[in-house]
Amino acid sequence: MKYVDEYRDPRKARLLSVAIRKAVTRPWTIMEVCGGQTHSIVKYGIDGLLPSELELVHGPGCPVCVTPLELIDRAHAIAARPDVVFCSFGDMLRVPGSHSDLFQLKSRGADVRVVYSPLDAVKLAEAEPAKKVVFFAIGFETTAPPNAMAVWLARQKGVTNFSVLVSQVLVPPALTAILESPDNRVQAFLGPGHVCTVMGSADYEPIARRYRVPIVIAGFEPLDLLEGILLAVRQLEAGEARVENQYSRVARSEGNPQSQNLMAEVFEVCDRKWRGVGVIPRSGLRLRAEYQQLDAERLFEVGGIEANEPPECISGQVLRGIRKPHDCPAFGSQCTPSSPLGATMVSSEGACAAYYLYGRHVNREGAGR
Amino acid sequence: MPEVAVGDYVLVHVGFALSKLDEAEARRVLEILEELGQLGELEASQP
Repeated sequence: MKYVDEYRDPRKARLLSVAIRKAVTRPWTIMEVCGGQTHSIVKYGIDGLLPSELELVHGPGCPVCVTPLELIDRAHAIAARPDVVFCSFGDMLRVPGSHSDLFQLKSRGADVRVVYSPLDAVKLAEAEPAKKVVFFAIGFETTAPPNAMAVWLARQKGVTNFSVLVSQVLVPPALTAILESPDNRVQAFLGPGHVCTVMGSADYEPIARRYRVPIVIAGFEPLDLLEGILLAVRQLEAGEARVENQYSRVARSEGNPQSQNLMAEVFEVCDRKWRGVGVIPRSGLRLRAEYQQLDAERLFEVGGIEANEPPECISGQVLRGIRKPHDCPAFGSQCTPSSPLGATMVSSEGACAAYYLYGRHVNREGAGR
Repeated sequence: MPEVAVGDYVLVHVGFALSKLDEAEARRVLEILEELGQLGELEASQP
């Protein structure tokens, strides 16, 4: 496909790899923020093209992975109701809650449906007025405008049997939380290309300045990632800490103003709990008061459901870049994509699933299991 | 996205076009790399 294949050219990837080797003089740790970037890095073996001084750690940018367990349990409590059609993106269906997952609920008779777009769930509500259609609105700033559009449209059209279970999160507060952590190892970020396509880059400038970290907004193809790493290394080696945009063919500094306006119309900023990380102040979105009649958490009174994480799962540390998937004793044995303990093994954007899928059962130094 | 026309490339996410691809910017990184390759300096120094 045009504008995709060119960014997978092996000869140019080798050139970038050599340029990175030439630029590096000492050890650096770089975090790629997005799960999509993690997936590409592991799939294409990008980390294998880097000099031993460079370490890539995998960030929290996997929407399914950071959705708290209690939200998943709340989703399951709603989906199990006989009057509900529960709609979700496909990768949420296998995520285990404390007791079940959406596939198991479906096999027991719950009406659970995969939708490609949140607007499909609104259409479903219009087509089945006797049912209560609930959409699981999870994700980062990239998915917030489409989800906001579904909410806005349902209210405009007077679709009263449609509601959303909201678990929307924001990237900049999570980066701040990682950098504030006493065990932080991250010295530069590959920034989230698609989140910045919506939001622009202004929110990242104060983070780069305050914490003295280069943030290179990067795309998702092999050449994007390698060029992003090269730009980050050049800044690190020069002692610079700026926001730089590698993904300028898609992400512009001002972002997408129409999307931002729609988000602001429907959502407001709130504190949110991130799975494995805990509550991060002002790191999420909830429905504004005018849209509360579409809030499934309120309508179905599931806000009181709490949950405890499986103690053997280290996904929280994986999401913060402190440990790698193969550091976990359960990785590949007790915990596999068909029987996951934690969300990083479930979603295709999760670091554990990417390591499992592409055969990273041992670490590069051979010290793994 | 009102400014999009047939023949444009767009980034689509969950059924929505979030951005129009800037073709000049898309070519930029590839051209810079071509120049690097033409210098031959990097290829000659490959391990």
